Amino acid sequence: MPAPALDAGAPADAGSARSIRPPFDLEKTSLGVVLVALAAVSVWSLGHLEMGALFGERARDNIVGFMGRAMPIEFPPVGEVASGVLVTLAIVIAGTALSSALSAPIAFWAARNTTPHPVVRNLARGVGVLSRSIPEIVFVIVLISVMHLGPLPAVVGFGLHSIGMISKLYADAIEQIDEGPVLAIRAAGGSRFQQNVTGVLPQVAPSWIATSLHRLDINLRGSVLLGWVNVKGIGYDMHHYQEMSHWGMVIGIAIIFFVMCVLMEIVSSTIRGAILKTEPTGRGLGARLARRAAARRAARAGEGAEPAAASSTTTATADRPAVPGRTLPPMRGSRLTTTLGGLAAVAIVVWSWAYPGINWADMIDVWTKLPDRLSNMFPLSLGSKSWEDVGGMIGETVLIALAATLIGLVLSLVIGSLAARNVAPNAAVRAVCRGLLVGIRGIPELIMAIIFIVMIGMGPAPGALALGIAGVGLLGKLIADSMEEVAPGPEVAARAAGATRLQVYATATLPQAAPAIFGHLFYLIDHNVRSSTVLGIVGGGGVGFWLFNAVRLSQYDVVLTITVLVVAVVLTVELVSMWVRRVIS
Amino acid sequence: MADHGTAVIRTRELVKQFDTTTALNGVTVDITPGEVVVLLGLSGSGKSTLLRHFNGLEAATSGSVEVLGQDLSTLGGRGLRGLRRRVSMVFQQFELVGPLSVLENVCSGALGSLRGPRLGLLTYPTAVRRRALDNLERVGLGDRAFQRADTLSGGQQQRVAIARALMQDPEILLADEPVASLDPESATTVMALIREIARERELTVVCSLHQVELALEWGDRLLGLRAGELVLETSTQGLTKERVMAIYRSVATDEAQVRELRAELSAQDAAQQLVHADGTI
Repeated sequence: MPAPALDAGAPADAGSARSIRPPFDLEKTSLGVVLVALAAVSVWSLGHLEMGALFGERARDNIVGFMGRAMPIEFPPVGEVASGVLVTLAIVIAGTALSSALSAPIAFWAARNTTPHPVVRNLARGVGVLSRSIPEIVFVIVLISVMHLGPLPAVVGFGLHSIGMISKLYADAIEQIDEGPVLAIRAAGGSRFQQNVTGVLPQVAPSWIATSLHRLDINLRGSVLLGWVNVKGIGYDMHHYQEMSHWGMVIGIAIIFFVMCVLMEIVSSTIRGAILKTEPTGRGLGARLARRAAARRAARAGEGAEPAAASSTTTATADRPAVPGRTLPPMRGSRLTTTLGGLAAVAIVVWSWAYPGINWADMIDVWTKLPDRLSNMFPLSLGSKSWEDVGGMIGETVLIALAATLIGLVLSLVIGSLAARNVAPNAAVRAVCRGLLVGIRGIPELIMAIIFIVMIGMGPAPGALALGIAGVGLLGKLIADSMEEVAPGPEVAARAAGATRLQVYATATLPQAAPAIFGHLFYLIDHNVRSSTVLGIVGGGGVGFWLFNAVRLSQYDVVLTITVLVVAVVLTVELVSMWVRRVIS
Repeated sequence: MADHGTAVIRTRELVKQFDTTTALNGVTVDITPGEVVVLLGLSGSGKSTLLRHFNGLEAATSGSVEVLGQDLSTLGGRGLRGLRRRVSMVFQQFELVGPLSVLENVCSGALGSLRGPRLGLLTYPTAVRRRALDNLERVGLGDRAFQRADTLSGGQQQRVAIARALMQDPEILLADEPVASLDPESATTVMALIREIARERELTVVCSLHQVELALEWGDRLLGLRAGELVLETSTQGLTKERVMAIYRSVATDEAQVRELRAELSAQDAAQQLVHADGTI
C-alpha cells in the first residue's frame, strides 16, 4: 500500500491516537459565524416586523371586509383585456429580446475562454453586476423622464436590467463548452469571430435560448409594476381600478394575469425541455404523456425507415441528399422544426416591437436629452433627509429582505424538498408541491404585497411577507431541481446500509445539494434587497418609499443617490455570496 | 460445496424482470458462511442485479431470496432496514458524499443503528466517530479523516467506502465491481484489503468482477452468469488462468464469440468438462 502523503490540515502525529474532532479551520469557522449571524439577524427582524398582526382579529376583519368589497369578482370587457394582455406581452418579449441581443457580446467578453483580455473580462462582468443591481423600475423611471411615456422606456428598462442575469448565464454556458471544436477552427486558421460563431455558438445555443425563455417568465411577472408608472398594459388596468378602489375588477385582472404567468411558464418550460432534450423521467402526468409521445414518434420513424432501407441503398435519408449534387438536407424532420421554430421566434420578436406603438423618434431624441438629465443627477444629494434617516431606511430595507429570505428559505426547504423526485415519499406529494410552486410563481410580489397591506396596513411587514412567499416559488423550484440533480449513488449506499428515508435525505441528498442551495439562497437575498426597494412603490416601507417620493418630486439627484446606495448593498451581498460559495465548494 | 443447512444466502429459481428485459432467469445459488464468492460475467449479464437482491435493493419478480435466514419477500420497511444493517455493500463508483469529510462518510455507515437524521460530523456520537477512525486506520487512511472525500484518488475512495461498510459490523459484504474503476495497482490493494478483512472478521463476501486474474486470485468459488442465467459454478482450487479464460469467454453474451470458442474448445478435453448445460455449447 503506498504511504499517503500527509494532508496539510491533518494532524502530524499520524501514528498516535487521533482527534475525532475536525481541526480548526479559520475560513470555515468564520463562515459558520457569518451564517449564524445572518440567521440571527433574520430571526430578529422577523420578530421585529410584528407579523403577529397577520393572525390578529383586525387582519381578519380587514380581509373579510375586503372580500365583501371585492365581491363579486368582475372582469373588464374582452377587448380591453386583450389589448392589455397583448401590450404587456409585447413589451416583455421586446425587452427580453433586446437584452438577449445586448448580452451576447458581453457574454463573449465575460467568459474566461473567449475574452480578448482579462481587463475586458472584468469590465464585462462589472457591467453585468451593475445592471443586475439596479431595479428595472429605476431604469424605466429615468428613461420615462427623457422619452415620451409609452412602451419604449419600459422595453429598454427591462432590456437593460435583464442584461445582468442573461449575460452572466450566457457567459457561464460559454465557459462550460468543449474547447476541442474551437481549437480545431483556430488550427485551421479561423479568426476569433469565426471561432466564436462556428465553434462556440452552436454549443451554447440551446442553453442560451433556455436562459432567455427563463428571463421572459421573470420579466412577465415583473411587468405588472409598469402600471404604477403609467405604462399601458395589464398592470395599468389593474392600477387604474385599484386607484378607484374597484376591488372586484382588481381581483379579476389579477386572476387573468395569474393565468397568463402560469401559461407562459408552461409554454416556456415545454420549449426549454424540448431544446435542452431533457428526458422526462418523472412519474407525473406530463412526463408520462411526453414519454409516450416520444415512444410513438420513435415507432413511426422506425416504420418509415424500414421500407426505404429495403428498397434501395440510394434512397434519401435525413443524412443523404435525394438528388445527387444537392448540398442541403431535405426540408423535413429536425431541419423543418428548427427552421419553423426559428421563423416563428423571429416573427414574434418583430411583432413585439411593431405592436405596442413605439415612438421611434425617441431613440434618437433621447441622446440629446440624456446628458441634461444625467447632469441633473449630480451632485449626489440626500434631499431633505439626514444621513441618520437614510441609514434607518436602508437598514429597514435590508431587514425586510432578510426576514423575507428567512420565510422563503424555511418554506422552500420543506416544499422544495418534497417536490424533488428523490425525496418525495410518493408521486402525489411531489405533484402537489410542484403545482404549489408553479402557483406561487404565478402571483406577482406586488399583488401579494397589496393583499397583505389590505390585511395589516402599510409598513414593512406586508412587504416582507409578500417577498417571503413569492420567494418560495423561486427558491423552492431551484432547491427541488438541485436535489434531483445530486448523484443517486450515495443515496443508494446509505439505503443499503439500512438508513431511513430521513437519514438518507440528511446524509446523502442535502450535503450534495448544499453548495447549489447556498448559491440559490444568496441569489434570493440579492433578489429580495432589490425587490424590497421596488415594493416601496405600494407603501412596503424602506428605501423604496423614499425613492418613489423623489421620482414624484423630480429630484433626480436623490434618485441617483438612492440607486447608488442600493447598488452598494447588493454588491456587498454578492461579495459575501461569492466568498461563501468559494469556502463551501 | 454448498451446505444447505448453513447457507447465509440462498436463492431459488430467482427471476427478475425489468419492463421487457429479463435480467435474471431462474438463478439458484447457496452461499455458505465465510466463503469469498466471485460473480463473473460481462456487463449486462445480471451480476449487479443478483447482488442487489441480496440486500433487498431489488425485489424478485418470482422465486425466493433468503438472506441470514430471512425470506426477503416477507420483509417490509423496518424489517428490511434491519437486515441491511447486517449486510454491507461497496460499489463500483464508491458512492461517497463528495462535499463531506472522509470521516463523516465513514460514520454514515452506522446510520442504520442510529436514530434520526445526522447533519454534520459532530452530530454523530463520540463512540461512532472513534470507531470510524479505527476503521479508517484499518484501511490505511487515518490521516485523511478531515479531508473532503472528493479530493481522494479512486483507490483511496474505495478504501474509505470499505471503512464505511465496516461500520455496520456486517456478517456479509457485497462488493459490486469494486475495482472496475481503478488502475491495476489500486485494484490489487483493494482486493487484498477485502480478502484480509474477510478473514479477520469472518465475513461472507460476494464480489462481482470481470477480471479473470483477480477472480482466480481472490475468490474461493466462481459463479458465472450469462444473460441472467447461472452457467458456471466451480471452486477456484486448481483452476489455471487459461481454463478460466476459456470459461470466462464462454460466459460471454456475444454469440459469434461463443461459436468461435466452441470450435476451439472441442479440441480441449479439459475445458469441455467445465462447460455447463446452457444448450449452446
